[in-house]
Amino acid sequence: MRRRATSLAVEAWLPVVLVTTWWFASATSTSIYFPPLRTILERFQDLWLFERVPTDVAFSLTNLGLGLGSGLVAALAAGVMFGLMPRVHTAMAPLFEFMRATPIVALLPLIVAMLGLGVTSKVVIIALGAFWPTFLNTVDGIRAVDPLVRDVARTYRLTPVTLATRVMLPNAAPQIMVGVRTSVSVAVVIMVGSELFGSSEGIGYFILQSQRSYAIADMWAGLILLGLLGYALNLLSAGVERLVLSWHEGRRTGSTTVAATGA
Amino acid sequence: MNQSPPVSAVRIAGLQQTFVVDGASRHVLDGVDLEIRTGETVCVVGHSGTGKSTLLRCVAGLQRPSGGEVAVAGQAVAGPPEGLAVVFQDYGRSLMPWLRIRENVTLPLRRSLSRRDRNARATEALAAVGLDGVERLYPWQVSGGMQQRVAIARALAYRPQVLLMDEPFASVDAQTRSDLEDLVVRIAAESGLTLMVVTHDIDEAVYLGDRVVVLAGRPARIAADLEVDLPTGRDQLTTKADPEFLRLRGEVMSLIRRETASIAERMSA
Repeated sequence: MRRRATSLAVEAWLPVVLVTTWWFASATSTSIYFPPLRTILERFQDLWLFERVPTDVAFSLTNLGLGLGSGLVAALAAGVMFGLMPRVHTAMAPLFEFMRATPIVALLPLIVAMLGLGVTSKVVIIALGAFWPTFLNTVDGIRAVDPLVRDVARTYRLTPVTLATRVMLPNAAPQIMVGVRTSVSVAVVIMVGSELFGSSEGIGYFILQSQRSYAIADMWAGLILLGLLGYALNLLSAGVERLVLSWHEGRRTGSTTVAATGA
Repeated sequence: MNQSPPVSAVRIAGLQQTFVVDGASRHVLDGVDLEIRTGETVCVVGHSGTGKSTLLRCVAGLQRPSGGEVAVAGQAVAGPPEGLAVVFQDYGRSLMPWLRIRENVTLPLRRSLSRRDRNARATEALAAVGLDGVERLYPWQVSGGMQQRVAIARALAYRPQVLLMDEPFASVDAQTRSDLEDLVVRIAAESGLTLMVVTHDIDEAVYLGDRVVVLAGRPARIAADLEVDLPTGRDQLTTKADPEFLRLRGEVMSLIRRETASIAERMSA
């Protein structure tokens, strides 16, 4: 209990210091760009607790959820497939590297031209952005399977489904999770980006709109909301990771090793 | 399954194996012939690097031989055959660290059995290797010897006709090793399994085997095929002091020595 309190204090001191400094430094500010934190927080309360939650926040989070969800599912399925076909993967690798290196937001005009300004184009572009990090990590993780594990799987003639779900995916899970966490942050960036371009809803749109109408405190409130959302998503994926990789963590630290008595 | 079992559980005829490593070809096995009768325990012994594991991998269908034939239960081996299980040396890597011990044992049974039957088999197999109450643990939470017991339980639960073991006890301490040897002797006697054990340990080979096959030379051939005429109820103390045990052990050792010496001669010539 005490240790938890200490680690919380270690994590919290810097944010507390920064916010306090911001609060006092900006208290008498008359700058257009840096309004007092007090004003920003008041606007935050007015806007996000919870007046615009059903509209802008719900809109953004729905797109994020749909895009991220479909992107990750596709990435896992395709990753396992290509991971199990090393030759095909080698042939496709240059294409994959090219696709990954292309900033996905740059495709937005094309996707909007094809799918219009509606929800679909936003979900698609988020899915596309979320796909690559998880896909590439899944392929690598699947390919890195220990040859002995492969031998065991072959000897016992495991079915392809058992092989994929009980052997290949769990084996690759540590690396897949690295990809998933990157995908999550990329998805948030693209979510905001997609709302800055020809949108009439969403947190990104709201920030752009506030800036255009010189409601700078509102803009700051939107930025703070995004920061908090990103932080919450990171906590969420860390939680998922702990759940999925409990065996990995336990084996690495060896903290739960039962006393080895005899054979 | 309604035909009577063929007399030879494993039949190896004129087995050749050549590897190409960095452009240079290496001839590992040169015309190995070996028959293992149903229910028999055969130990293949030889220096490390002679090709014992290569031989085992060919029988397991994990490796395609360059020439010759391998048949398990009368069926030519083209890939891992049905009714064959393997216990590998490296238990730390052959068990899945993300699966609990019970799930490790039931993994090969997912194709054919319901969850209830799978779990019943796992409990039975784990009890047979002397493990109780570890089902919910992960393999890495128990000792090395216990992990190898889990690997043996996984093989037993699969109910194979032929069980191959590749240096199964080379990575455990001496005391654990003799415990596990006794376990294998007991399992072989009780189950009627056909067992092929690859080992570099001469004592182990003589202690476990109904027959000891010496693999020697470069490329390797079968240098000797010896019947072990020891009572079936083996015991670490009395068996290993039996004059017949000592005679066989000496014979195998001198065979391996002689082969090593002749290779050294040829190399220096």
